[in-house]
Amino acid sequence: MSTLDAQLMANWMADLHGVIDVNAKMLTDLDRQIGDADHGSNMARGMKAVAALDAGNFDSAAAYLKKVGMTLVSTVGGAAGPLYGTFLLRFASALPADGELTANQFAVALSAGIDGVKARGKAEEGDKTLVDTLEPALRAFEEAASGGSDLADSLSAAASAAAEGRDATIPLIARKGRASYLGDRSRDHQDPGATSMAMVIESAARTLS
Amino acid sequence: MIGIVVVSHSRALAQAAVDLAKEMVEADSCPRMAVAAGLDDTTFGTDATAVSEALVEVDSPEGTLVLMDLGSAVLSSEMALEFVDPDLAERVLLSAAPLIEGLVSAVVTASSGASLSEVAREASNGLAAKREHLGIADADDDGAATTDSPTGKPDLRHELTNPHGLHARPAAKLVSALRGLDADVQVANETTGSAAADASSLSSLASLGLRQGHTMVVHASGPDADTAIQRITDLAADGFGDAPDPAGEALPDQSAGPIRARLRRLVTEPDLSGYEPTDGASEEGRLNEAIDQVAAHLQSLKGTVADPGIFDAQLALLRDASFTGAARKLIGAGTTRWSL
Repeated sequence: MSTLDAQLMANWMADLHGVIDVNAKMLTDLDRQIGDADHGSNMARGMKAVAALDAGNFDSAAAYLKKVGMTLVSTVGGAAGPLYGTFLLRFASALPADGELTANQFAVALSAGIDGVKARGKAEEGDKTLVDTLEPALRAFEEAASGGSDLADSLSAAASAAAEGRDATIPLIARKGRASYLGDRSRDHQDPGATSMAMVIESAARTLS
Repeated sequence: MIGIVVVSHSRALAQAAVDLAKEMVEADSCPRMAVAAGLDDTTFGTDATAVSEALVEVDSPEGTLVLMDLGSAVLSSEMALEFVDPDLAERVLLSAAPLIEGLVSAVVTASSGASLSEVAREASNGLAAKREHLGIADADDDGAATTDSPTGKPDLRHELTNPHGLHARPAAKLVSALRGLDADVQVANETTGSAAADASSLSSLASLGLRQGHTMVVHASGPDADTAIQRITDLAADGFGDAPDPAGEALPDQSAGPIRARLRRLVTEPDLSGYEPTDGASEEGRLNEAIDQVAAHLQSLKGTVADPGIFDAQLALLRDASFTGAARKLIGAGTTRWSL
């Protein structure tokens, strides 16, 4: 069982910071092929600012994650700033004040975050964006949880589905974001945003249960 | 005089654009302008909190026009509207105009004391001079300017007088008035230069952000096109059924963005014992039955209040293809999914 507090969420963000840092060059390389070659450095800059936050200064998981969202909004710079910021702000708003983090609560928060991202970016599944990672992850999570799986097993199912969703962006033609300017030429490239968002879900699976 | 905010990935680009536009007017008639651009002097990027600070800096009762470059500039500006006071956000228009041409048009028009909607319209027309010079008749002939908007002269132009614009209830009246007609009706917001929206979808209409003083343009085609235009004309003459002074009565902030963004997922724990997912046709039948049940319930509520308009809005949303279509698509794909 996981106690829902700022420290739990800080563990998630610390793990994610490490993963983003190690993979920053790879993310930027993906973005160079179909975007503006800054996704990795933008995310690394944002996560560095997030890592400087002290979880001890926040009295709830929601308060900490909202600050994380606002920090990303102000430091990432590209479209990932408002998109990741919205995702975490909506995710945080849907969390209960305290208690144990349950699978049901995580599903509600994840779906609130996804609704926020889709409303902000006007993207749907299949547009070659981070939504292509998030929607399959939510579906797998809900299916596992409604079948009786606990938070850990549901997160693990979500992480596998997120990775599959990320890989499934390769043959897609981008319909949103900078890559959409390329039209057909965006095909056969893995989407950078879908790639970093898969890291977010995989990191959650490692740290939240 | 209105204020102007310039949002760009590059601080140098935004500052230079402002300087270029300022050359067009006398210093004492220049509108207040603020720049929210770049993460610092040399790092490209946009920051929603910086945009919200710029909006506060130039705010006045006359309102503010925001001109943006591309991508995250638009997302950050939309997010900034959620950070500022809702009353301030009501006075802000995000312009779809090209940054340089739009800014020059906006500054010149604003310096004459023009209203926010007039300045927004001129900014949206900022490419007109360049198009004319190059012999490109209008946006629809320009291959680069892809738009969903129908071509030609609109069948109806109407400046909205409703204090809260085309919010949920009047929009629902419009959707209801067209139901059953064999016509394709497209509505656009000429003031903001929006793309056209399908008039049969309440959520699409809401996304147009049609507020008081904005001009809506309507294109209709199909066998019942004339009837459709007549019905909308009648509705418009009647103020779309809004009471003359609906202050405090209309839903707050309904015209500011897609209704969709304002819905919260309702989490329930339905009793699924004995439920077995079946084939797509049966599942879709269940969906239809559920929609009919909710519709009957909403209908029964209409008699209980003096102004049933909000229930008409909910009924229109209930059958809005942009929502039910997604559910039908998932069912068609063999998905059975319900809230946990």
